[in-house]
Amino acid sequence: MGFSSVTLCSFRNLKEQTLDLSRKNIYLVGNNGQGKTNFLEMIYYLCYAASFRTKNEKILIKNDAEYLNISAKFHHSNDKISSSIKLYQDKHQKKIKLNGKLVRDRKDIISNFPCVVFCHNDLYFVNGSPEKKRIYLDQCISLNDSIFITYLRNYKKILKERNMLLKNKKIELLDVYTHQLIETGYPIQEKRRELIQFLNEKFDTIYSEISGISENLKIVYNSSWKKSGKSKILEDIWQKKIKEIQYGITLTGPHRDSFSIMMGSNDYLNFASTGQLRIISLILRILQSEYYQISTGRLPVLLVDDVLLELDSEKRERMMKFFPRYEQIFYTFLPDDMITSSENSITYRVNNGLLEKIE
Amino acid sequence: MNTLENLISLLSRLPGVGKKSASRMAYSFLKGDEEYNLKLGQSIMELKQRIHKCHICGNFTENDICDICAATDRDITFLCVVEESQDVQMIESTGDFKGFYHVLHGVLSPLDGVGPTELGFDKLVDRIDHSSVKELILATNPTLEGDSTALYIRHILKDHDLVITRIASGLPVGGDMEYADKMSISRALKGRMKFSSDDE
Repeated sequence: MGFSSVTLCSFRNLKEQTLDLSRKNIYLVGNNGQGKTNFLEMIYYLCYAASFRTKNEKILIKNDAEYLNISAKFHHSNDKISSSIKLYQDKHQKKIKLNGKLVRDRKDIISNFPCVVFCHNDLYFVNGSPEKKRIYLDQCISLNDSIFITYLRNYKKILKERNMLLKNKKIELLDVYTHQLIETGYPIQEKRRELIQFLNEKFDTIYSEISGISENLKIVYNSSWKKSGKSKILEDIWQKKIKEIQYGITLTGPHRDSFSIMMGSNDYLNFASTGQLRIISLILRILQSEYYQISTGRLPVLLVDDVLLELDSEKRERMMKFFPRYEQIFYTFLPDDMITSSENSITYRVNNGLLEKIE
Repeated sequence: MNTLENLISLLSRLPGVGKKSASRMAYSFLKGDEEYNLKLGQSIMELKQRIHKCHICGNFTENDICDICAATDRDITFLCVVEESQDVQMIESTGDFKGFYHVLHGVLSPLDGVGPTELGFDKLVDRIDHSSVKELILATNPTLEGDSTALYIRHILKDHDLVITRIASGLPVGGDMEYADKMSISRALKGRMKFSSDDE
């Protein structure tokens, strides 16, 4: 089923309103700058208490308002009863209530209403910085594995402490923090490699079917730890010690890893067109949804923001064949797009932050 | 700020005490028995004057040397390293450990400025060098900081003729798997032991 209703107040440019979402397909139609993406961002915010567009959550609060407030009802088809989620954010703090109970850690709501967003910036997963690529991998894994979030948090903490030691040349503790860096970083790499193995099972087949060309593509994990096995990695880091002290920073580890799309021994980035990169970014999102579905047995909510528009109609049609199964989908359209509404859908016209149902 | 407000603000600095509890305590002092207030005040005042760290193990005591270090019937071959004095009390309450302790009064945390010097590891090494300890039990908490501290101690003592052990971590006894967090279950699985009877 998905979200059945939402009441929102002071979220970006969206007007204060209660909306019926009790259908599998929700279409949002409007010109640019009217609030379609803001609405998707609001749904994403309900799912993860975070935004996919900004890290500075204060800007989500409407200009003249002191705080934002959203509440929604959600019913997953695997569950017997529906759940309610409430989010409050002011300039200093955020409060999350799940079924009336205060949630202390954001991690505890992530698996409740997982959503996958298809948006313009997904292109960065393919041609962006290693950091963006790591975000993709970590997001895929975090959706169904909350221990992974603990691994990431622990690693980040150890990394910060190790960097501080290197910067201040406190060498006596370096051994311990190198050991801890490997202990906390190793499981992160293992999980990422497992994910990439899963992605590779289908990636190339889907790509050739949609693009119409067979390129034999493969996703390859680029580890900054060149050796495998904890003791070999330790040796390797040991050899870089002088350099690390000189730079005052940890030079290798999961925080420096990335992945590439390879065609044989060449990086496909050097050959692919913008359209082809877009297809790859869409496939990554499709596979993210499938990975979630296979590992949890649940279907995700999908948020699709204009991304199919960049494909020609033939490729768009082929893409739809591979579209993942979903609990509910939110789709944005421009006014000229053809929308086929059905009894399974609700269409909203989005105009200057106000959503009106089109019958 | 008047006297009452001042007391409330002071009490609310205590661990686990919020503004509301602090205010309830303050009003209870105000309405309550004066003799009790005096005794409490006196105890707080005497605390720092009378209690200090044991010269040997660092545990809090009223004497130069704490009761445990002064005991003659304990096993000198075992030494257990803990983070805080409270941990000594906890282990003692089980009655299962008859060795000696070493209290660090903290854990390694470079970001907070707590390093080896602050924790006085040289004292620990010195103690081991001048005693008949055969097994060193590292009983710091199973947290990132506790683990780092244990690793560091292992590192500085690696050339000593000594068995170094780490306390087990995993599921609490009598606990329900259902209520355990995933990290504990994962650690319990990794640290599983062969299940055999003692006489095998």
